[in-house]
Amino acid sequence: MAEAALVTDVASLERLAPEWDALAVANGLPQMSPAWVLAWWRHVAPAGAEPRVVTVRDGERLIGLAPFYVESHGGGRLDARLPGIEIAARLAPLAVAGREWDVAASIGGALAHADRRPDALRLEGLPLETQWLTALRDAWPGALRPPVRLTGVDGNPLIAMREPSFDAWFAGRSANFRQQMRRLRRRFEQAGGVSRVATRATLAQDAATLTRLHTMRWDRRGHSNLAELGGCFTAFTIALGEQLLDDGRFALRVLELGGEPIGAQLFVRAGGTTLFVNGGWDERRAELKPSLLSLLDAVEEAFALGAERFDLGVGEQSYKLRFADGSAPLAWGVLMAPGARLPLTAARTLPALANALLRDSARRTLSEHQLDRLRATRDRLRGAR
Amino acid sequence: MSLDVAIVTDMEALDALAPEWHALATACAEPLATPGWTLTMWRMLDRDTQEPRVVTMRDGDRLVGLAPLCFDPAHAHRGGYRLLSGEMPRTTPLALPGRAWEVAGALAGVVRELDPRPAALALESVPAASPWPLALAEQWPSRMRPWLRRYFTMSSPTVALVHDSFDDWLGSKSSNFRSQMRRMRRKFAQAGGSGRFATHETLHDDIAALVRLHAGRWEGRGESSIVAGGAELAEAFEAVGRALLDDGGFRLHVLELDGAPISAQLFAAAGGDVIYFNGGWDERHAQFKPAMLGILDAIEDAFARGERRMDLGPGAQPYKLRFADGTDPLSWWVLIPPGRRMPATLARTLPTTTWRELRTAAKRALPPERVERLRALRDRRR
Repeated sequence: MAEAALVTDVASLERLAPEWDALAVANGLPQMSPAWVLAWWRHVAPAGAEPRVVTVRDGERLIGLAPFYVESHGGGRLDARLPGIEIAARLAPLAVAGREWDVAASIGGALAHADRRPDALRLEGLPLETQWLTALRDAWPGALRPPVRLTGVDGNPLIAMREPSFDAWFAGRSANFRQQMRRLRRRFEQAGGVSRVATRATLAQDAATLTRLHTMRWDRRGHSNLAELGGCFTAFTIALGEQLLDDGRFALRVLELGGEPIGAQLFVRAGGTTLFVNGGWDERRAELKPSLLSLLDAVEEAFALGAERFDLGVGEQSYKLRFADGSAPLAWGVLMAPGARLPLTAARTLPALANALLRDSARRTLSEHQLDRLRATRDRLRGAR
Repeated sequence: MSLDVAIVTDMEALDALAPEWHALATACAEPLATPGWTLTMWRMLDRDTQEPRVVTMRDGDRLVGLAPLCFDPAHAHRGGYRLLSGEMPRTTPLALPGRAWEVAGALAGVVRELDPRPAALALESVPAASPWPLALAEQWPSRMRPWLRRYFTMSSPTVALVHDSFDDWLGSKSSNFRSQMRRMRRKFAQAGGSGRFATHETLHDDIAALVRLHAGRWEGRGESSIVAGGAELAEAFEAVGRALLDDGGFRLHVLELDGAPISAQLFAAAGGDVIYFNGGWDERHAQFKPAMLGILDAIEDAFARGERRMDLGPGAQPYKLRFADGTDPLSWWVLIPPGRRMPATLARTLPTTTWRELRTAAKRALPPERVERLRALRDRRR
């Protein structure tokens, strides 16, 4: 029999870390690990956020954990969200395999009966390959099922790592890809380039480099959450590294040329999954294609570590698609809790739904060229803001 | 990564596809989506009512996705598509892990070439976690979004075979469960009972026993697809068995007492996943709890074969829940593309989908005793 409890303070969360981490590892979700979530609470959490973490136990055993937090919006609307969407997607509750529905029922029960009951669960970057979308809706307590509305689906490229080794995987790529990668590696070496991963000694400096290169890269290109977080993201990265470096679950890869960093990319691991979080590179060195080189090194390392899946993160940028051989898309949407406030919640959700409908219609009716122009205009407008 | 898509319609080509199809279903760990089950059941039972449109998706030479679609030729003008032999407990289109979205996109891209043109696509009894319905709707090549509705979901209890051995697994269960299982096995053995799996030699008789015992168990209890299928279904099971017995894809477990079968249970397996299809037992021997004994034997066998999970099939009956430590529910979906046929198709499908949804809503809203009373009333009327 599953029993749920609601944790509402960060200090209590820390005590759960060992068993919570085991669940994150079993689910292959480094972005849901305690190291990640606690670092988020310390350095990224918005003012006014309050933990509403649901733990689910079967006897003594922790079979599920959903590290929700709530934040208030105008008109007293209370949204429950999973932490970390500013930094990476694929956010989902954690559960022992096969127990998702028990855990979903417990999450629904705990949140529906909480003192300050959330009006809506914001589903942000929820993996579609899991049962959560269906389970959270169907297992919600009460006579009425909560309405769930999706506002978008985004591609999330991945490398399935079915091959026994990096060499076997590399050999299976197109001749063009192999040739380009070899040439890039050769050129980088000939230029005296070095690829390394951060150590405890270099962590703080490398984390700052990552933020700086990322911010430079996004300058005048539109909106980047990480650039906006700035020093908070640096502090988050350091806190995460301090927790995970020694276990080999954190890799901040830096490419240097003449002692100067020209590229930095952050990877985290849990179970068989390696997640590419984000990166940045110096555009003056664009000819060396630092992001491709660094990803290649990271993929090689993941094979060496026996990883089963290399998650290239949300967004189907062309450099990711060069590596990808699969995709595990993510959904955005909202689950509205039934109750007296449902009409109000629905009314407040309408603009987002209308926006989603508009985007979907544009995607279906406009040509790629027209869509690109619209996207460019949107990015310019965002950048101007 | 663009995929080569082909639509296969004739029997010879489908047979030629079977080895690759089998390998794909095995990679997806979907026992009932193997051609040994799907094609054989279709050929033996549904050939007159289902005309195949099997869509294959290849990356170079490699088969990376397969959607075994079909339509009813008697109502071809309606353009209603579903999965071939979709009456089985767990059916799904197939895609290599990580490629379902891309494969669904390729399938959606080719629907206009299907003849007849689809006016509805039913995905029945597909895993609730399947990305297929949404992937198809998102990538359907139309200016308007298709109408997509999940109208029913049913629990399917599972047993994770993650322990090192059967004994370890049994040791992890409650002491009550362990002592009951050991007592039942002892009692059955003392009565001279024994359990075995069907072989080629015993297959014909064992399937006859399965159908007979299942029918006996369901008499006066409502509808059963096995009872309705009769002799034809028995022949189809035998054909599947002949094809899949040797590689363990078809397992029929029989309990005997004094040489007579008192229980028969059918399982399918592929890629480390075993699914309990159905079974029957002689109520005169209810004291031995044959259904539970049979499942226990099948779990022990699955551990010996190094399998990873047993799916106990749709329906959360109490005897299944004694074994289960999880669930992998199944969902029923219908997708209706926009177009001038949409209103008529909606009008045809709405009664079914709405009825199912009303039943689900009633189950949520009414107290269990009222639900039971309603069920009893329905069964009496039937």
